[in-house]
Amino acid sequence: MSRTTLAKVLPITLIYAGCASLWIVTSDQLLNKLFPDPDVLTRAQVITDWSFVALTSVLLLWLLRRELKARSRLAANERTARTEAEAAQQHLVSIMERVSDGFVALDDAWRFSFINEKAAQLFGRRREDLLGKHIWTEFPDAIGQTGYHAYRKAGTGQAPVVIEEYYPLVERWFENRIYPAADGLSIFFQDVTARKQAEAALSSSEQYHRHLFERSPIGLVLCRMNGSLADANAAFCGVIGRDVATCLTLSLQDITPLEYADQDRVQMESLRRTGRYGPYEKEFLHKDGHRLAVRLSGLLLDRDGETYIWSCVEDITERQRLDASLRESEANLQLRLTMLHALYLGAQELARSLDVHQVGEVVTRICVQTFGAQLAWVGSADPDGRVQRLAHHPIEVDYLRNMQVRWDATPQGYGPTGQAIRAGVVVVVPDIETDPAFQPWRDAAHAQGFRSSAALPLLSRERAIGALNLYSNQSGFFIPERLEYFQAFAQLTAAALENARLFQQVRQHSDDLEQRVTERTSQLTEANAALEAFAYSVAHDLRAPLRAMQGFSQALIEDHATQLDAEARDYVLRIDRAARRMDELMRDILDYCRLDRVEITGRPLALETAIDAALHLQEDALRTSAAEVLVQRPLPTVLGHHVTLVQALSNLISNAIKFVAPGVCPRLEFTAEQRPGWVRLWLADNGLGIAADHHQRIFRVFERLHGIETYPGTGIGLAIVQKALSRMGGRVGVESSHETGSRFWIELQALRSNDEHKLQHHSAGRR
Amino acid sequence: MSINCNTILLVEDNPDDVALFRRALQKAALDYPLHVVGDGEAAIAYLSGEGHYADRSNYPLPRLVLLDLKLPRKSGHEVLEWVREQPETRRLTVVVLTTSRETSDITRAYDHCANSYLVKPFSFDGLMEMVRALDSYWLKLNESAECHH
Repeated sequence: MSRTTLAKVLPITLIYAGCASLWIVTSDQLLNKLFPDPDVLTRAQVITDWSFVALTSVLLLWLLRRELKARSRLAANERTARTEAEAAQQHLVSIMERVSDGFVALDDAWRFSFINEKAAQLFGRRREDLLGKHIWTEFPDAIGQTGYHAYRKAGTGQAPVVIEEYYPLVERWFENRIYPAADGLSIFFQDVTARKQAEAALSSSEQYHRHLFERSPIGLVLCRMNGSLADANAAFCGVIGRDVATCLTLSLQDITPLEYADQDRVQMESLRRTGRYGPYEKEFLHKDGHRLAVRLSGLLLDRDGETYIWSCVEDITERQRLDASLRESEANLQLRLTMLHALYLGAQELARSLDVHQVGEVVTRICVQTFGAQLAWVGSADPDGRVQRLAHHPIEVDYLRNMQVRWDATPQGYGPTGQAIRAGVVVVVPDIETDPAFQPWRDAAHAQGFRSSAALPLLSRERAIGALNLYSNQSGFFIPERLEYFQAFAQLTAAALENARLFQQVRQHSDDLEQRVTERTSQLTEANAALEAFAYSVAHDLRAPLRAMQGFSQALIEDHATQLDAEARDYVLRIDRAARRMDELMRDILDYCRLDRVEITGRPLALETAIDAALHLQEDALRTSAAEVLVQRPLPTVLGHHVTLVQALSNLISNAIKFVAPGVCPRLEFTAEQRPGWVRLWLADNGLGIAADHHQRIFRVFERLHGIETYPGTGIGLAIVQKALSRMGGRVGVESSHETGSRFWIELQALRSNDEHKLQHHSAGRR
Repeated sequence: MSINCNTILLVEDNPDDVALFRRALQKAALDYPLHVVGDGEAAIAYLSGEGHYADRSNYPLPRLVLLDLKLPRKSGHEVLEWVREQPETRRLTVVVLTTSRETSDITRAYDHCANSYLVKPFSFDGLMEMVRALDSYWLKLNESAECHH
């Protein structure tokens, strides 16, 4: 019996001995007290004894059973354990075989004690060829390699070693975990190809991003919260003109001009508050010391427990340059527009200026008011070498008061104005202070605040006739863009001056001509007056003797008839007739001449009234000739002069009565015809008619178609008619043939509506 | 004021015209006393009664003045202006008798209140007719300011 068994049995035995002894001691005494009756006592003792036996037996039976059960359970457990151990062993081997990972066990003499299939595959050998063999004998090439050192290290250091190795036979990566054991090494090969691939992928991705970072054309920079640069790409470093290594020794403060400190603080606040900043524009200092415009934006970034500022930095110097260039070209365009507008205004004004001084005033005013010059003056190049000032603006500037400018080769001729005129080119003085040619006028110009000046030649037919001189208080005012327009303006000015000069010439000629016309007119008026006096004299003085001739010849016939024979009487009668005819002739000439002198104003005139008046004048002749007169009434109203028209009509009536065939009663018919703007009055007669050849002739003075004996007359009547009509702005004409008689016509302006008003007013006045 | 209510003063420098006028009066059997002066100054002297014209019984103020315009020394216009300016003669009947048909003459004469403007007839018959008309109108029919029938 083993000690454990004794240990288990001994308590039971002791418990039994104790309980039994206690029972023996106590049971009799107890029974004696309970059962004083000895019979009962005996019986009771018997029962008690048997009970004791039974109880003891039962106890013994329970104990034995319990022991037996325990023993059989132990045996069963032992069996199971053995089976399980065997199964586990089997399982382990099977795992070792099945797992994709290899397993190799080496004994302390570097011999393969176990090698699973996978491991054999990795080594490219059969398992049974390797078991019990020395590893370094089998694989001498591996000596000195990573695995060799690791195995050695694990073996000597008695600590696990992990290495990773690539096995080209299976094209996979394995992680070798080498565990030292008492009797050798256990080596697990775990396939880490997937991880290695993932790692490789990760590394590639990292490289990719790094690549992106490094090659990014935009500057990227990571800096710590204190401003020192933690990382920066080439673009950023390029912007500030450093290499990456140098960059990483710098801080943002090193490359930021001082005046941006406040602005940077504002951005930092924004960064702290919102996690972002920018975009905003500032400047960085280049390695060379010059400044670059940059545009920044960025955000806060936590990395490995530290906070960084991740910023994008864009070099906007070029963009700003472009912007500036755009702004400049816009300003340029604006300038051009302004100049063009001024040019247009100037051209307009100059076109209206026909006086040399007025042209000068316009030009200088526009140069100052519109083109923006401080002072402008126009000078003409006089033949004696002086430059004569035509005009300047503003007139209150007295810079020019005592200025002597010449254009010949004298000291005063070497200023810009003189040079411009002599050479016919634009001369610009960009800075009055330094230009030696400006020396004679420098102090005066300085006092006016002039900084720059330009003199533009005024070229007419490729010859400089003067110069347009401009001054500005800006030193760079006369830039090519402005000068281009000033030149165009100078051309206009030259043309306008030339025009004005020509116009003055023409006007001078015209004035001379007018003067001559006035003189001639005056002479003519005098001659006319003399002629009038002569005509008056003719009328008065010459007619008086005629009257005397007529009167006294008549007196001779009447008072002394008996003393004269027939021949003498005939002579006296001839004197009388000659005197009468001469008087008639002179009266007609005077009538004709008077038409030129009297003032004739066109008034609304009723044709009927004029015809009636004319008929009345010819009443005697009409009656004598028994003429028939037809007037087609009503007749329109015309513009004419009553007396003059009556005179003309009277002459026409007189002719119509006179020039009829002997024995024919004259027949006169007045009709009117409305024409656009005109009224034509026809007078048709039944007279002799006039051959077409004579239709023009008959209206001339002293033209007669008939002998004085047949049809007496002066030959002036129709000339009077024509002159009368022409003085009233009308016309006269004739249509005639010998067969049908004559149809004389006169034309006068028809009465327009506003003339009608005049007529009503006129008649109202007369009423 | 002594006006001979028949006297005619003819202001005319042309003796022929004067002779023809006298003959016309005579032929028309009109025996008005006719005084003739040959120039403007003489006319003014007569009408103002200067010198020997002061004798109004021989040279009375005329009933009718026939005034030529073109006269030596002073023109008919000047005479007419003078007449109209004098209180004593301003209402005299003055008929202009001239050869001029100039508008300027006609208007000027009327502007200075000529009573009538006649152009000398060319023929003697015309003169006769005119003299008769003067008689019947200005000397008989017309009521003068100074003479009442």
